[in-house]
Amino acid sequence: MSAARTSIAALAAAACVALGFGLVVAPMRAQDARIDALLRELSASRAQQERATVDTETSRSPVVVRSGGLDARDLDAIAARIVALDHAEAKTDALVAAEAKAPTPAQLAARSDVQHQVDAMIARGHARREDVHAIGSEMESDPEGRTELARQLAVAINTGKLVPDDPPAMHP
Amino acid sequence: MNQLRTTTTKTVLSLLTALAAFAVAQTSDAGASYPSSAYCNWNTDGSGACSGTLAAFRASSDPNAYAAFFSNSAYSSVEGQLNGRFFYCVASPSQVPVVQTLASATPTAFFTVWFNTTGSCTNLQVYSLSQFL
Repeated sequence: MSAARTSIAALAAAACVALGFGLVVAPMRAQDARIDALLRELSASRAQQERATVDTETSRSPVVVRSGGLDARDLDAIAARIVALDHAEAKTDALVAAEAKAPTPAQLAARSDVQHQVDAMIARGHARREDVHAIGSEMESDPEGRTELARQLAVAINTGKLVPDDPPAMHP
Repeated sequence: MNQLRTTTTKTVLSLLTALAAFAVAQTSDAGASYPSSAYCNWNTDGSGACSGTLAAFRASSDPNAYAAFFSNSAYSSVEGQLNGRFFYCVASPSQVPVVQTLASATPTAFFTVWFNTTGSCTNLQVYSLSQFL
């Protein structure tokens, strides 16, 4: 009788353990498996996004947005892109400059004449509006010459050798 | 007597209504806010840099201070005056859009310009900040 009771108790205990496993442990394992699957999916999705970001950003910006932070390789890549962009910008400016037509003999003569006036103006230390307007008129058809002249005035002004009477006295 | 009391009550009520309307009309600004100041630095070789907003140059203690963004058919430039000294540089073709942006920007748009010894702007940037509104 006692053995039978013990067997029944053991069976009951085993049934409880099985029930507990079925109710608690099995669902937990299933949940873990689902979480693992979701994490794998998320990881694949992030990798795809990063590839897309790099592809999109490479051609127009030195900065690449990454979800996982930056490491030394990223910084090197960004630095290389900045250098490449700087070179591209310098190349654009150089191309624009190269596309400028060679000055005509008339333009060269006007530039020479104007140069004397600019030198005199700098020697005087004073830029008057009428002088600069006259110079600009003489070089009306020579935008490159006017740009170069503006740079000369800028150098004289920034070094304090030339003081413009007023703002319009700065622009040939 | 009653008429006097009615008039007084009406006056008091009108004043209270006006006071309430005034209190409601008051707005409170939140967020960071500070004035921008104009700044320029010239090196002995004529290179240098300037920064600030148009409003800051206007509000400078130097009565002749100004900053300007200029464009004509030949070139674009940035210029100004601060503390008795002028600065002036010609923008490169790739900087022209920035000059145009600055020319049409609000007076509180913050700009920085660097210029070299050849009268060229070496770098030009514009920065819109809520703090300067």
